[in-house]
Amino acid sequence: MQLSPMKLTLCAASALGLSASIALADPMTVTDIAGRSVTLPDAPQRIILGEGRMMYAIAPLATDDPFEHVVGWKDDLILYDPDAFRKFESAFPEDTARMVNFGNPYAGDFSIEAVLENKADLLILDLGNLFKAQETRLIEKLDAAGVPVVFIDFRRDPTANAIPSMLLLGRLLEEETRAAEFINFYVSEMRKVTNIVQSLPVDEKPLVFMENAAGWNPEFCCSTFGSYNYGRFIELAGGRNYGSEKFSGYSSEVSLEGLIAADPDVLLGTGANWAEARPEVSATLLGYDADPVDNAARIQALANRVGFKDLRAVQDGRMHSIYHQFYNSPYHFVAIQQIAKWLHPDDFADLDPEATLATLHTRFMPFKTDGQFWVSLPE
Amino acid sequence: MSLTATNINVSFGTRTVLHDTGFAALKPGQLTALIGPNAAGKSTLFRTIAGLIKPNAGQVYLEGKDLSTLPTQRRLKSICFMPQFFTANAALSVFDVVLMAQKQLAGWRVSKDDMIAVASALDRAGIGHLADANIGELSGGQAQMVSVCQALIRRSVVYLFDEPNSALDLRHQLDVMGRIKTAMRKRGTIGIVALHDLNLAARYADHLLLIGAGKILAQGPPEQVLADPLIAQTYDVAVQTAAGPRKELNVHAYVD
Amino acid sequence: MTATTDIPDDAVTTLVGNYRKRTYRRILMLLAAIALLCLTVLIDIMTGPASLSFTDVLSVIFDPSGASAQQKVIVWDLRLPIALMAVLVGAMLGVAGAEMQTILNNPLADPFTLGLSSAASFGAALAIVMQWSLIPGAGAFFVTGNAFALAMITSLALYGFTRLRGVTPEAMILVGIAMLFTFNALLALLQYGASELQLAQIIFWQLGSLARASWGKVLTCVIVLSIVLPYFMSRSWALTALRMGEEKAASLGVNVSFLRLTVLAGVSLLAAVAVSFVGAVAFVGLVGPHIARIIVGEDQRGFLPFSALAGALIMSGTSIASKAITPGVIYPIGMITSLIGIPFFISLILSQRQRHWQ
Repeated sequence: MQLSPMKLTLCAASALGLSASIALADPMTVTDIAGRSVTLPDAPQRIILGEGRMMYAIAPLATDDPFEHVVGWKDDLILYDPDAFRKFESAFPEDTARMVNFGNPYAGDFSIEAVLENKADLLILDLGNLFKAQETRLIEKLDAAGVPVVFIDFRRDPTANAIPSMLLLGRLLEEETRAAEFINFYVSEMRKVTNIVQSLPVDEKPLVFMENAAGWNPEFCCSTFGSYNYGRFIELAGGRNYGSEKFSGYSSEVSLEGLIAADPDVLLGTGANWAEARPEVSATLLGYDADPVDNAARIQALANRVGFKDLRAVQDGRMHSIYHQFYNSPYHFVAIQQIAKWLHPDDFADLDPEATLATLHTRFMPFKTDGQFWVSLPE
Repeated sequence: MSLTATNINVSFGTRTVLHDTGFAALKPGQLTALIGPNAAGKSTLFRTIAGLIKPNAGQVYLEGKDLSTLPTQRRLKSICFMPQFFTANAALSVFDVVLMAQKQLAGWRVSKDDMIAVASALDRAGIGHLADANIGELSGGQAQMVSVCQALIRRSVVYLFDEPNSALDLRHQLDVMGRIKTAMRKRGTIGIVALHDLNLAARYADHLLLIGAGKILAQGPPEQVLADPLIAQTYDVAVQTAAGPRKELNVHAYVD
Repeated sequence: MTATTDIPDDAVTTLVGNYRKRTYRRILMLLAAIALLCLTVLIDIMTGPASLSFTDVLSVIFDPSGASAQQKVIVWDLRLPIALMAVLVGAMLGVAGAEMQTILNNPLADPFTLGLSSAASFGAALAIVMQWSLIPGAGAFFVTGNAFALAMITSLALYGFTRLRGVTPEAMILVGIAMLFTFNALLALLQYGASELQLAQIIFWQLGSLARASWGKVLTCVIVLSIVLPYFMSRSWALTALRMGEEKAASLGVNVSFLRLTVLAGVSLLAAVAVSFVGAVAFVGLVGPHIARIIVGEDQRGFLPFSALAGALIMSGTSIASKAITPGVIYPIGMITSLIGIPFFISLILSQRQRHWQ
């Protein structure tokens, strides 16, 4: 059967209308990533985001109008990823202008009165802050005010929680079809790496050191991930993560001497446009507005730091830097693909992370990709 | 060389402790006893002379020189004040603290002469056995003897002792007074001792200063001041003096 | 008087002999502490995640031309600055604590209890979270610069406070504690608004770290110590006298208020520099002087150097311990000084009390 685009749209519209009427009739019960069962009287229409960077996950689901149900956020997107914020701003100038900055949900400046005044009907928080939310009794206070809270996670354990988080957001935004499409894309892109990595023998897995926010504090090295987040990405991409072998936690500070002694095969670091908030950073400023010439100089400067110059990875040209914010978004498959390509260039010769990123944007994002999301040490 | 004070006025807040008072020249080599009832202003007068309190008005002159024009350091050096009490829980031995006074706060090197000087001072004061004791462990009397030792080992021009024997037994009271008097005479320095015991004052002092209610009321040789009816008035007792068995001046007080 | 010094009698000779013995004992303890410190520094330089043998390290130190680039980096850029920084910062905190306790006549005084450390932490946090620089043009070191500026401002405030009439040392401690709580509260406020990266950095600041050591900082510490320490040493009798009470010290010729002021200035400089380089290390400035007091007493000629040595030893030992727990992972030193220092401290106090009971 051949359907015209017009008919398809009508069909979809009626289906949506139907689900909306069902939702109106029945309260919605969801289980969030913290394992809490949350009942909403209705599909939320006025949502507050505990972090502005949650827009990374909402944009693929409500691509045409991602801010439709969002009334406010925290200004972290503006502060820590100004490039992405400007993308959203140019696509939806009125929406970004009307965003209320509720501040930090765990700080005194987050006012429950302001939540009520804005008639918010849902607060979405980040799982990493569950303990703080319990400690400050934020959940109870909001429950008492009739505002439900759900937790999602793209940071603490992103590879395990991205899919359930997207499913949850899909239900809350009534974009379940869209969520299914995204998850399908996510799984197939992840498989492109994991299918090959699972057959790699252990002795072919290089030792990789991932410097968390390299150059963020120009005076100091090094903070790294354990077997979480970027540490886990490295393992999935077929590498041995230095941090996972040293400690069991999420992240820790490690000594430069230990790094020199281990002399890893590959050096990675994360970078994002922090220079607008912190002019003194020596990090690579990756993102939508990145300048490749500047970043080449920056990664060279990072490689020239005392102790790094003589590392094998630097000498072999196996030092790379990648967009930091992949660590807090459902797009980390792009990072995993690129890391896999760096670690096993021959096995992943056909893999094209640039194309993956471009596809992600054309299919799921309200703006096109441009800029630079990774950079390698120039030869 | 002499010590004089004129028109000293000291008040703490609204309470005036010394009322426009002063004393005529005190001579070197002489021991003066400052006598007067409790709260008459003895300690305040000492502190004012030592420069620890700034008077609201009045001057103290040493050798005709206004002491307030001297730099603090010089003033503290030429006037040695021994406060009535010291409390210390410091980990310092008796030898340490007397050596500190001997060194006049200068120079890390302790010479053999320094050590001998301290050791003999302790020995003469009869507290050689306490040399290694911690100053926090001393009894009140022992602490007083250490204080006197510290004061006498210094080379000052004026020595002020605020009740140096209030906690001492009879024998030690006489010893301490004797040593102070001898030291002043030998060194040709000016000594003032605040005393409660008029008999001690009569026996050891060359000169007396009577203070009452913030004013110096009388000044002169003991036999003259003790005979003055002001004594009886100031202390609010009846006083009679008589010669003791060894021709010393004895003071007898009666509450009638 | 000359007669007695010329022919000392037996009692005097015994007293002098006893004092000599005690002096030799103090010198011996100082030498022992120096030897122990040399040993810990040596161990500190010899140990690390990179396996370099004793002879390797020695040859890199004395003949750098023959060593590989990596060995040179490890020994010259990482281990030596960290080991020396530990010694210098420990000495600075030990001396700062010792003289604070002396001038305030309070055994609880140290850069931490007077709020200098938390002021420095707050200054650092202002830089990390708010991007506010108190020293214009500090560049990449503006976190350190801010920490220093705030510690110094706090010292000046304490300073001004001592000049007020009738302020007792007890009141000073209370003001210090008030400062401590104020800055901790302000710090907590900043932490709430901080991102993950900022938070990690602030926490590390609060607990202290030697990992940021560099030759430039080592040199700064040397310069500051070589300015302040000689001054303190020149005032050592006066400082000893101060321990007998303010009036007693004055009676011995000490200009108490001037001494307090100048020593507080020196102490502030030491504490501010130390804290701005390694973060807030709570325990060293408090315990170093106590160990010195128990072992050599409070004659400043022994007390001052021994406080410096005790502080240096604690920090040096901490530096070794922080590497030994998990090779390659950096643990905050403030955490370790507390963990290993406090049991040691308590045992010292208990052994001391036992001696009094006998």
